[in-house]
Amino acid sequence: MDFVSVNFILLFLVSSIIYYLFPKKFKWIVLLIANIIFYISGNGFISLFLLGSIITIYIGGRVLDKLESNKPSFKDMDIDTKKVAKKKFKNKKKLVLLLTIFANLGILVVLKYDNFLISIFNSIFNFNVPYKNFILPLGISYYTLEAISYIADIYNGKYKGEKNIFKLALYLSFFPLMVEGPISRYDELSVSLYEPHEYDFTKYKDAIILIIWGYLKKLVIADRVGILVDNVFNNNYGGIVVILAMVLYVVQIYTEFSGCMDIVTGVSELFGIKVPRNFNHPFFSKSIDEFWRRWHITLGAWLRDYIFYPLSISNLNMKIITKVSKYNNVFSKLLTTAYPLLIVWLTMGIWHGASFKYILYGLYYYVLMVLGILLKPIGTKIIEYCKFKTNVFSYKLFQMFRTTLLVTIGMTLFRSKTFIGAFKFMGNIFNTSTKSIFDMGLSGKDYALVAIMLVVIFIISLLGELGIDVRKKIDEQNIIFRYVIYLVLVFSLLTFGLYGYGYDASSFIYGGF
Amino acid sequence: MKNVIKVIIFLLIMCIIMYILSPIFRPHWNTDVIIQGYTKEKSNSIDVLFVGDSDIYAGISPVEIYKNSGITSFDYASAAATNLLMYHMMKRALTYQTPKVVVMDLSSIFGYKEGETNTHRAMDPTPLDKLKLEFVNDSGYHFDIGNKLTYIFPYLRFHDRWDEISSNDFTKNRTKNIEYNSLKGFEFNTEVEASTNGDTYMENKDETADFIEKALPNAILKAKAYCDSHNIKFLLLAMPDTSAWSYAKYEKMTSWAKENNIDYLDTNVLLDEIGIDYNTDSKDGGMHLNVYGATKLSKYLSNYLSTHYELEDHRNDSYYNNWNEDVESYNQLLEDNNVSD
Repeated sequence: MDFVSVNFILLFLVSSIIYYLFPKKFKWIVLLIANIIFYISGNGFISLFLLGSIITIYIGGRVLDKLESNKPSFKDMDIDTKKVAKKKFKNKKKLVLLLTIFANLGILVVLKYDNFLISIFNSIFNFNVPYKNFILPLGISYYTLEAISYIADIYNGKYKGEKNIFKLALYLSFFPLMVEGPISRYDELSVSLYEPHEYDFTKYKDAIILIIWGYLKKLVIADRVGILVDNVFNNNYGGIVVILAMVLYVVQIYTEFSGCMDIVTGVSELFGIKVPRNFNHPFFSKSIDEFWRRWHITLGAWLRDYIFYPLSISNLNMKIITKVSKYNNVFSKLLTTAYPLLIVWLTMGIWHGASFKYILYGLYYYVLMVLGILLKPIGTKIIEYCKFKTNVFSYKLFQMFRTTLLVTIGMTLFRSKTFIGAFKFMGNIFNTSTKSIFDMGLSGKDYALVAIMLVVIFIISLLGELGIDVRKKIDEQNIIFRYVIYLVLVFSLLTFGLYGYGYDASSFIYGGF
Repeated sequence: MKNVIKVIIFLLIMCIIMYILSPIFRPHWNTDVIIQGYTKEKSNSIDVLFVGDSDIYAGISPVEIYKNSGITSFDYASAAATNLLMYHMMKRALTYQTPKVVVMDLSSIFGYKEGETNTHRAMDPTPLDKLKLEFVNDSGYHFDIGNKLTYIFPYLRFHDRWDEISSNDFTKNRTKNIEYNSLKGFEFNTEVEASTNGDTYMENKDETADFIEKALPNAILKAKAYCDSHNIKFLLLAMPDTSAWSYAKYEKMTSWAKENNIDYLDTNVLLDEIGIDYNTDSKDGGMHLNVYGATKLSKYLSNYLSTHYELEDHRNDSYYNNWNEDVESYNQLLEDNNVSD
């Protein structure tokens, strides 16, 4: 079922109404049924893979709980016996953890990365293993990470496993999250999911407003600028249209992804459910590091908690830290995190797609991070020498501009067909422009519309950055003003949105992962 | 309760705005001239209603029929309409007039699917009422909710014309701004493009033909039943068309019409009698007639209708004075374009 479809809108409206009519004890079942309808209608028998993930993590969780509850008492053992017993116990738990992770990761690797691995195998060994054409289950890259975080948290004793497999299924398959995330954590989302929520008109209305806002960003801006982006990236134009395409791709991916998150958050809020935030006005970031704490926040957090931290305290990294700790320079500081950071960015890259392009995309940010650390002392010296003030607006503006420029280059790498192709594409900036910007599929009115919408988004983001809740502010106004705002929102979407006959508005960039 | 009222009021305001925006956003089509122009005819003044697609408005001249026999008619037609759409068009047309005969065109029944825009062309110029809702809920169309809404509020279909809207769009589709249609739906066309298979398209007697889907012949049966219940004669008509017709289709329709007790007239086997010459009488290689072909066919139909149905000659009836004026302007048009009568 597509997010941009009447069926999806009907699903969330009807199920939210039924949710509030149901008795408290059974409200979560309404959500589960909505999940099933959503998932099976779009995936058919491929839904069995999701079912497989639910079953494996359920069993893994229950086994870990059982092991923990039957944990032997090490109190009366001598040191050697205790050491062996503890190790044996830990190994048992580790085995369950690894088996569960491999079962889930294995499905993801086979379905998503099979052809990538086959191409590497064929290149190295000069074989001719045929490529497969598996259909990816919707949301597999997202729910697999959620599954892994669930079992890892149980292993680490953060919480006990869910005893009710249907409730666990509800968590892993919560339908608004299946297209583009966010990647939720069981202990945060489950509380909100299982607890019955009472109907609140203002909250319901605000949720609808957020959903409309999300669709506006996707259908009015993202899909519109996507026309030019696709045109320029698929052809060999030069000059200003290349710069325009690079910038507008950033606009496209941001408004689409954040628009989708608004829809997801809004749909969840219809049921009174709070999902984790995935964007925090990323273009106010003053560094790449900050950018990735504001963009696709839940992926960054997942990588931090399940890759970066475990690797930071791994034996290998501890050895590195021990060796470099006697030095106190920028290189030694870098080396304490270089290895886990490398794995994080490699994982980030490969998560996005099964090709070397995505790996190199991840490595691009790794290099930027490393350079950031290495060049920081030089940067500090330059600032001191030039007597630049760093706590003023102009300096922060420079930092934001610099970050946005680096991100734009990164996004160009992401969008291009190949890594080398991206540099060739950017090189075309210096070629004589072969096309006018008005020959790219967008008219002057389209550009004006996008510009106005971006100004509106900027104002709302700025207000958000200043801690002002725009929806709450609107709620405080008089009814006529509120109605006008709501009507402007609705009719902006209905008039300017790229939906309906002749448009394929349903595809989401991040929905392909 | 207060909140429910607020929501209802808001939704009502939305519906009103979409209703107002619909005629502004949708394009102006030739069907506005035909369908809305039809509503300007004097009440109870049309004896024969021709319902169909572009074959009808290209190939039948109601003024020519009136000239020859005093029988009044109208081409209530929309390009590429299937018989399913024609059924709904007929029902709409019959709310304004009570003709004695409905003549329904046959062309889509063996061939093409109705394009989405063509459906809008025929339905969007008509008011939002019970008949429109009946059309929207017709199971023959398999409309999903999104599609249904685009027929209730065409603004939702044509919203992407936002960058073309000019001051003209605020008035172009209003019925009061649509002129009285002196050609009665006929599209006067003097272009000539000879057909390459005009002599041979009905020769092959070895093929068979079958309907592409049940909804279309069923729509004809529904139309016949509706006419029967309103004491209106029903005639099925196959227009001359070298690109879409064949002997097999003629045979299929003849036997089907007989089985279902429907009067059927196939002009494709009467070309000599009508006098159709595909070297001069088509505007596009045999798909549609031009004014030369339409004149011949209209004279033939004038005779056919006079002899097969009890229809009055209104040429001396003062109620139909406007028709006499229409004949004068039509004759002038023929003269201006060197079209002999």
